[in-house]
Amino acid sequence: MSATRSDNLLSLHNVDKEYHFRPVLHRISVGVERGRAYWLQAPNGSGKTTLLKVMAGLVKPTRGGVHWCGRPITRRDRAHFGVVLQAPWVYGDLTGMENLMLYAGLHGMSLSKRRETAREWLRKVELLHVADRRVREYSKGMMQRLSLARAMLHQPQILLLDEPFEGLDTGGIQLMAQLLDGARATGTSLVMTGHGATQTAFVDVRWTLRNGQLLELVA
Amino acid sequence: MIGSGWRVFGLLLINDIRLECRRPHLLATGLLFGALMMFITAIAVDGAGDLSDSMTAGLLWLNIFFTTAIGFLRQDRRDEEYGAATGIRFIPQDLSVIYYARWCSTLIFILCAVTVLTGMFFLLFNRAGPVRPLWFAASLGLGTLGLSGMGTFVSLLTAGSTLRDVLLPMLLFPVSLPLFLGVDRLTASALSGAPVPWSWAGVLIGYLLMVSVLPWLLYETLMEV
Amino acid sequence: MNWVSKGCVCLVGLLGLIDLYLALIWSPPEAQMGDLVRIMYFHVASAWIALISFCVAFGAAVGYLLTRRQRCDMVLVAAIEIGLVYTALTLVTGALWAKPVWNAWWTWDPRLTTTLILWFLFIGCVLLRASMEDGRRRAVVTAVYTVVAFLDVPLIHLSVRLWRSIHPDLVNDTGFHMPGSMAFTLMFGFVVFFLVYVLLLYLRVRLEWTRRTLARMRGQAGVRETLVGEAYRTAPSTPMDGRR
Repeated sequence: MSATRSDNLLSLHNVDKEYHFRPVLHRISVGVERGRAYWLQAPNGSGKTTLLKVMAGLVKPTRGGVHWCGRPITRRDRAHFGVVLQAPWVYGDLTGMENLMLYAGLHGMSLSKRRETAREWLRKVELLHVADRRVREYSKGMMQRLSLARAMLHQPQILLLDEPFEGLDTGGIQLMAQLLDGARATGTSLVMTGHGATQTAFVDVRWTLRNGQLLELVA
Repeated sequence: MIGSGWRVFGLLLINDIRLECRRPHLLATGLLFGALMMFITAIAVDGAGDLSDSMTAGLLWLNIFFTTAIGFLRQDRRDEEYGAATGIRFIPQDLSVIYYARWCSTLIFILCAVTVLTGMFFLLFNRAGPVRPLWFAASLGLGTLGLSGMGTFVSLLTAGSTLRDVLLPMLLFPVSLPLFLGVDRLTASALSGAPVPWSWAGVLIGYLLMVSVLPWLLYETLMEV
Repeated sequence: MNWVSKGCVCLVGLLGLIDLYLALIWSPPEAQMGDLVRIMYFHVASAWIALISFCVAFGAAVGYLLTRRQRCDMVLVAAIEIGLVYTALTLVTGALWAKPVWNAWWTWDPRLTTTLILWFLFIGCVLLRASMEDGRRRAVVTAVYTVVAFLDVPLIHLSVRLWRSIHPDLVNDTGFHMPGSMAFTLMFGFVVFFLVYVLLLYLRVRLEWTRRTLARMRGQAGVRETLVGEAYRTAPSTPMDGRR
């Protein structure tokens, strides 16, 4: 029942995060289990993105520790993470295909595997028809889907998604939910955030943030 | 892991070159701004063809320094536009590989710009070619190597600053003074055919060592937050 | 300012007056420069203190990078700012001294040039810091820049020395090249300047500490709200497991 449980992939221990001396996260201790989906709903400015960044190791907590599989997280563990934040983390002057191939390469794939993986993921996120178009010309929804493909192409063990359904049309939401559910079914843990209640049926645990503290929604 | 470090280096280098070919920010600004600077300098010294070698070398490097500082600003904006800079930093690797890849790509672009600028310089100032062309080329190459390395590092330091446009050259010039003096003297000797000032070559090599090693030690620390 | 600080200020002020007496009245005029030599007591002491201050800044920067302690960052910013003031003082007194002696306000002497570069290096650092958002990145950037700039200084000095040199070596490995009374005044002045430096450093660090404490208190005041709502329960102090 604690962070040291073997099925806890990622755990936070008494994490505090301050920005300009203002506490954003306060004594957060939480575990993320393998193959489970978590939904964090909270209003703007409550610290959702900060919490995701702390989990991903993009932001160092002011106090407390982040553990991966029971030991302090290191840079090497980033290979197990897929992260989708507000910015899509792509180059506007590269095509969708080139962007995905670049990230596939950074994750150690060979040249032929890179092309194959990028094509497969573009098909999955229904962007194959614009694969050779520069990302600068993509719509927000397309960018969001490309960002998801970018985060998932190396088959991470945990996916951290900041407002993944924001700005997507109904079809986009369905596609996204389907891909995420599929990932969860294969053992990937999901941590998602949003302003309101979850739009996906497969969420196991719901959280909220109030005054920097993480609360589990039981109702 | 050393092998994968080289792979990431190669990928990032090719990526930078591809991006620059698509939208040649660094080259275009480097060439246009450099050409304008060269033109203004030539007017300021009354298009004199009778300048001393040390003055000629100084003017040439002054133009190269300013042109380079402007170029760095453009290149970083491209990385930050859609957050690619954060994405690239999220690799399970020692982050200094990003610095070395960027250094290498910047070196290539600046060398291209410097080659054109130098040609222009000889034309506008009505100068005969250098007496020792190989030494001249070597001093240009080594100077550009040091300048692009320190520029890459300083551009990273100033990344979160609201005064970045001003601070980048302001921090770059004092930090690169030994480099500036070294390449200036080496270039002047190559132009005039005077004996090679080996002590300056030593200063230059010392500086290049510093630029090569310090970021390796400090880049990771800089990027952790 | 508490009573201890006030007492220290008074003591240092008194020592400063004694130093002024020694430098301007007690010490003899120099054979060639005459009374002009009196500037040296301020110029040399300022230059030494400036160097000490940048060494302190370097030490604090390395300390911060190794430990991430806020107090190292506070000492770092204080040492850079005060070091800059002393460097400016060195440059101004140097120019005042140079005009009658060398017949020029400025010469491209290695020490002068290095000092000016040092001033540019660290004024850039202060600007960089001032133009960044408060936080850990700002502290890290300041520390990294300080380390790079400080390690660059010997190379700068060497290169400028190679470039040219005319500065008189008053103090070198063989000792002081001046009469005993002048050497005493110089060293007394150095001690006084050093005490002023330590006092300024202490006061500046305290000011920074107070500023941060105030900012923290303001930040915490914003989140002291009571939690309401029965649908929530706080996360346990040990990591929770999530329930199937």
